[in-house]
Parts: sequence; structure tokens; C-alpha cells
Amino acid sequence: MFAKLHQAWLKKRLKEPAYEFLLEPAADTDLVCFDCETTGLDTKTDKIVSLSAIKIRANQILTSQSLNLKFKQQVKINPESIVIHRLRNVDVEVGLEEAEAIKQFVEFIGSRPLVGYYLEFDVAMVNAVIKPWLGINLPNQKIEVSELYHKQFYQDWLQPEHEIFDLSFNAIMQKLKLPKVGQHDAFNDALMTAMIYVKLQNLAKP
Amino acid sequence: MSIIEQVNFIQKIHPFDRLSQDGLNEAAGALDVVYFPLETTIPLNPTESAFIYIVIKGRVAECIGDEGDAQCALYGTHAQFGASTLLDQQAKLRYHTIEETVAYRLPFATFQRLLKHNPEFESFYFNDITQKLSHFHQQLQIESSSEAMMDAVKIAPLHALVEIASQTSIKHCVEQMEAQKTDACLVRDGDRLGVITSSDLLRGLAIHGFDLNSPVDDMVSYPVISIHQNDYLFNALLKMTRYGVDRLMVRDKQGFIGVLHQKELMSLFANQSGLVMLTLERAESFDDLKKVTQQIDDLVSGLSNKGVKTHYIAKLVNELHRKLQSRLWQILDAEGQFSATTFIVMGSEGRSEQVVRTDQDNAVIHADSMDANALTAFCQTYSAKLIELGFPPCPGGIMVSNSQWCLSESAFESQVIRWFEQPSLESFMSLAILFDAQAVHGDEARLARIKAVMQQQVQKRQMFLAQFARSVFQFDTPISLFGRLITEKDDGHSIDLKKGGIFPIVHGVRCLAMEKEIEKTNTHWRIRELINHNVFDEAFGVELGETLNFLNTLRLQSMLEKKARRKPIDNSIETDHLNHFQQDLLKDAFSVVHKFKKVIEQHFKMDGVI
Repeated sequence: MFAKLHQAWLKKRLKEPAYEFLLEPAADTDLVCFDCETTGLDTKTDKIVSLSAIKIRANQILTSQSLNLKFKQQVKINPESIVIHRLRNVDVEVGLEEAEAIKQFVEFIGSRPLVGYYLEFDVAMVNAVIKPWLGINLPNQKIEVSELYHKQFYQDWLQPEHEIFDLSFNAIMQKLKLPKVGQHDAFNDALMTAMIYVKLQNLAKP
Repeated sequence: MSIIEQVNFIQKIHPFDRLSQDGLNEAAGALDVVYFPLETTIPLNPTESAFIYIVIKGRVAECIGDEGDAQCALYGTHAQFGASTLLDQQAKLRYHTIEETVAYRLPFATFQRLLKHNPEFESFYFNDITQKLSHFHQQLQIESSSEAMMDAVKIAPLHALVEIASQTSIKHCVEQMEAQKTDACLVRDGDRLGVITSSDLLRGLAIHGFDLNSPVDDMVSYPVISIHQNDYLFNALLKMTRYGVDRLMVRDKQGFIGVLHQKELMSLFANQSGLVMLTLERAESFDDLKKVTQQIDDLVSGLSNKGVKTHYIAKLVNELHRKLQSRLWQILDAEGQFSATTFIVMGSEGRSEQVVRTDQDNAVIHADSMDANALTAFCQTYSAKLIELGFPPCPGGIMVSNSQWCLSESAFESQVIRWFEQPSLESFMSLAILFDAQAVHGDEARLARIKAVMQQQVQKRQMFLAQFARSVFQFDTPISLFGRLITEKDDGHSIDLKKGGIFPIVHGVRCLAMEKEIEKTNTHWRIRELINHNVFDEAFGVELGETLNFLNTLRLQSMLEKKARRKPIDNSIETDHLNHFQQDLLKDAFSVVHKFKKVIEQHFKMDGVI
């Protein structure tokens, strides 16, 4: 009942009727894993530099149909972030306008569930662009792999009291014995996150 | 941008490394990542699941048969599979994970497009082992700097060919040479052909007092030493050192076409290989020879890195070793006290197949009239000096310092007959290495007569060869019924290449050569002769030769590596250190060995013997 109401409320807020598909059930059972590289860690002031999204279909990660976007920047990228994602200012000069890029992203994901690592941040980054445009935040279901991982492996009685259960990306990759792929960038991160998701799904099966 | 990762990944994988940049991009763009839990079957069929898989991490077993229970291959990280099933629809192969696996998969349609546009890539999937192996060598050669040694004679600058009659006057001869800017002429004396050079003419005029009008006749040297224009430059240099000449006449199918001069040849080499030969030529003392051995070793590792086929390296090195041994004999026997002797090398040295000096197998046949005691003492010194030069002693004592291997011709003959009459492992081995013998110093006819005695005995004794060939089967071929390598259980999963492949080929070929009375001793040349005798068809002979070459190359590389790390040199290689392509070739190579053993078994009708 509440869900239905919420749905109707969103529909009302939606500024672009062409994007109603975001509120309807997806046509397939695919999921989309995505990751952004940004100019910094502040969701209010920083901007997306690049974004990669990859579809997951059961045990297959469809890298051949991935979406890879670079965003044109208004302000110079913070040098500290350049070191991390290795996207220099010249690299994004050929990028898309923010509005065009985000439109492609929204069309790519549709209403499919989103998968990510610390997804909250990435979703906040895209919502910062989507909200002013469509009037709503992304309504998609959100699957956090670190949460799945925690559920799978965290055991209260095994965890030493003063240690924090390690949820770092590297620790998860190691624990799951997954191969590291290349340089840290949006695509590779999304790919590895997708691997984590697929592997965890398989582990969770009885 | 996003496919950089995939491009980087696949371009390290053979044969994807042969794709053009466009091809790489196309392949990388079409890749998906798939995950398979432990013990799952990987779908692979031409209709719904037509994919080539490349393992990113994990292990996949390939099985054959309807039950799918006979495992025949394993694919680990960076290995690819699926092509054989999809290309050859007869192949009933099944794949399942024996470790959970993450893999890239490439749609078959893309794969087929790649095949069509990249012949280099295509050849990997369609060529048989012979072609694959030659690609392997070519690839090594491309990677190396240009090594002139492996070029054909025709690329060298040749001097013009001048042909004159033997009655031509010196004056006329010099004029012609001057006009053609050459310093050697071909001289025709009826049917006989010889060569005259500017130094011959000079010597004739200045020392022997000929005048300008006398005919060149008396200064000509016969016969003509020549080389085919398609032969390797490297063989040209060998011929020059072997015959001690500075010039070779170059011929094509029709006849002579020009003159190759050592000066030009050396300028092409401009590296150590030529230098070694020159130092060897000029060596006057034992210390000089000592320097040469080191240079030979450097040469071997240099050439091996440059991808020169091991067969040629072996030929070059053995030629140098023989020169060295012959030179040592000359230096030690300066007075010529022991000139009525023939020094022979046997076994791998006799076959020109020893590249790294592992042991010496040599013997002396002397004239019946010679004082044996003095010679024995001399041979002791000779052996000691040879060891000092870096030829390790033969563990079985098959060397001249052993009086059993330093015999008069008649004693040698009766020894050979005794070996036939009293067959034992030891006598078989002696016969085997003696059959491979070549004379290095002294009259070759003595060895030829001993070999004739051997050959007579072989022909006389019908059952001999079938017995003799038995040791071909002494060791199992290290490959399973389903094409997997069988390795030792040690850390590196090693395989003994000599037992597993080299020895059976060498000995099998030796037996066939004995039967056909082939005089050549090198295994490759024997194979060529056996093809001529229709014992093998051409394709199988070539395959056998390439296989031997491949095994020897692997062995050489591992020996050089062990030598560099000062580890004991043996015949084993660690399969863990081979890349997938080499492992594949090794499997192919062992299946050729397997096939060859069958040929030997049938040829000598050995069912009853074993």
C-alpha cells in the first residue's frame, strides 16, 4: 500500500514523462553494476569525471555491452584525484556534456537494480545531476556488495572485540580469491565489483 | 578506454598476440566475463553456446568421450579453449571446472571474423605441428636482431665469375680478372674444373719463376669448393674453415654464378662467430685453444637467444670442436710421431648433435705397425689436456686414455666382431656410439674400414637389428593416452627430454640407418636419407626432424640456464616454466615420438621380441 503510494508520488514529481520507465518493472532480470570516478569526495561540490556501467546476467558479466562515459569538466580536476584515477584534464576534454552523459546512463540502467561497492556515494553523485533534471532521485533497487559480503562472512562470535571487520575492497577481493584486473579506473572497478557480486550470489546459494 | 584492460590481457596470449591492432580491438570489445563455480560444466556447442574461453583465473579440465570421464587436458590462467570443439565438430570434448573459474568468453562469430582477416592468427588453429614449429622458430628469429648467419648466400655481395681455359696465359688471366674486378677465376681443363686466385698467380710469378706468358695450368687448385646460392651463409663459413679456403664458388641449378670471398662474408657476420673461427685457425699453443673454448660457449648462448635452430648451432659448434681437437692433436704431436693414427669422435659428437660439452666420447685407431706404448702415454696426455679445455671426461671411460678405445686397426676389428658375438647392454652401446663415429684427425679410411666390418656383421645377422632397436622402448613416452604430459612429482614438474623423446628418435633413426647402410651420422641427415629410401614419407620425416629440433632446443635452453646458474647440467626441463604454447608443442612433440615408436615396432616386427 505504502509502496504504491510512494510510486504515485514519484510519478507526480517526475518532470519528464518520457522517463516513466524508471518507475515500471524492468523488462529483463539483468542487474547493472556501476562505478564513478570523481573530482573529489564531496557529493555536493565535486563532479563525476568518468562512469562505467556493466550489465550482469546470472553468472555472466556483459563487458561487451558496457557503458563507458567521460564527463566534460567545468573546473580543473583536483591533482590528488588525478593520481588515483589517472584521468588528466586533457583526457576528459573529449568527454560528453554532463546532461547528455547522465541521460545515456539513465537510459542504460532503466529500472534495473543497481549493484556497487559503497554504492551510496556513487548514487549520490549521479542523483546530484538527476534530481534537478528529472525531479526525483533514482528509484532503483540498490544492492551493496559490502553488505552482502558482511552477511556472508561476518560472524559475531568469531570477530575479535577490538578489531573491525575488514570491508575494504582489497580485503574482499582477496578473501573471495578474485583476480585483480589492471589499473584502478571506473571500468575495472565496476568489473571487479560485478565479480564480487556474482561470486557472492553463488556462495549464498545452498 | 574501457577495453584497454582486455586488450592488454589478450595481447599477451598466444596466438592473439598475432592479431592486428584492429583485430585486438575487435576481440577485446566482444569479450564478456563469465563466472563458473566449482564442478560446473561449461556450456560449449555450436548452437547456443558458441564461445571461445580464455581463463582469467581458475582451472578447467577437458574431457573426451560420451561419459566425459577421461580427462585429456587442463587449462589454467591465460589458457584458452573451445576452438577445437567449434572448429572441428567431430571433437567430442566436454569442459568442467575443477577450481572455480573466472573467464573471458569470445563469441564464435567474432572469432571466425578474426580468423578470416588475420592469416597469422588463423594458422595457429589450422596448421599441423611442423608448421607451428617453424612459426615458433620464425617468431624467435623476428624477435632477435638480424642475424646474418641464417641468411642465404645469395644476399652476400658476390664477385663476378670469370671462366678461363687452363692453357690461358698468366698475363691474359690477370687482365681478365682486372677487367671484372675479381681475384679468382674458374679454370676449365677438359672436364675438370679448378680455381685460381690472385695469390696463386703472385706466388707463381714471384716464387716459382713463371713468366707472364706461361699457362696458368700448374697453379690451379682442384677441385672447386662450391656452395649453393640458397644455402646458409653460415654453411659457407663452415666450408671455408673446413677446406681452409678463402673463396667459394657459388652455384645455382644451372651452374656457377659468382665467387664469395671470405672478406665479404666476415663483414656480414661482424660478430663473434667469425672471430671464433679465425682465432681457432691462428691458435699456436694450448693457451690459445683455451681462449677459444670460452668463445665457443659465448657463441652458443648468443645464437640460441637469437633463435637459430639448434640443429645449425650444433653443426657449427661441432665443427669448431672438431677443429679444436684436431688442432690440439697437432700442437701436442708437433713432431708428427703419431701421424699413422685416426682420432675419431663418437656418439653425440660424431652425430654433430652435442651443443653444450657434456662428455667426450672418442677413440684412436692406429696402424698395426705403431708402437702402442708410446701412443698410450700420448693419449693419456691428450685426454688430460682435453679435459682441461673443458671437455668433461666420459663417465663410462669411452675415451682415448682408456686402452680399450686406443687400438690398432686389426684389434679394433676383432673387438667389433666380439661385440656382435657377445651381445650385452654394454656392447650394444659401444656399437651404437661407434656407428655414429666421424674421423677428426688422421686418415679417414681406417674408420671407414671399421664401419664396413660393422655393416657386414649387421647384414649377416638377421635378428640383430630387432634386438638392437629394443632400447627405443626402454623409456615410456611421457604422455598419457589422452594427450596429457606425464611429469615427475618434483617441484617443477620436470620431464627428462632425453629419455622421453630425444633418445628414442636418435636411436630409432640410427637403427633404420644401419639397416639401409646410410653413412651419414647426423640424425637430421639420416632422416633425409631415410626419406630418400622411402622408409618414411616426406611429411612424416619432416615432422620427425622438427620434433627432434624442438626437443633439442628446449633442452639447450634449459642447459644454458642451468649452466648460467651453476646448477648441474642434465636433460630435464621443468614444465612449470614453459608457457602454454610450449606445453602444447611439447604434447604434440611427444605424440610424434609415440607415433615413431609405433613405426619402429612395426618396421622391425618387434611384437615377438618385446
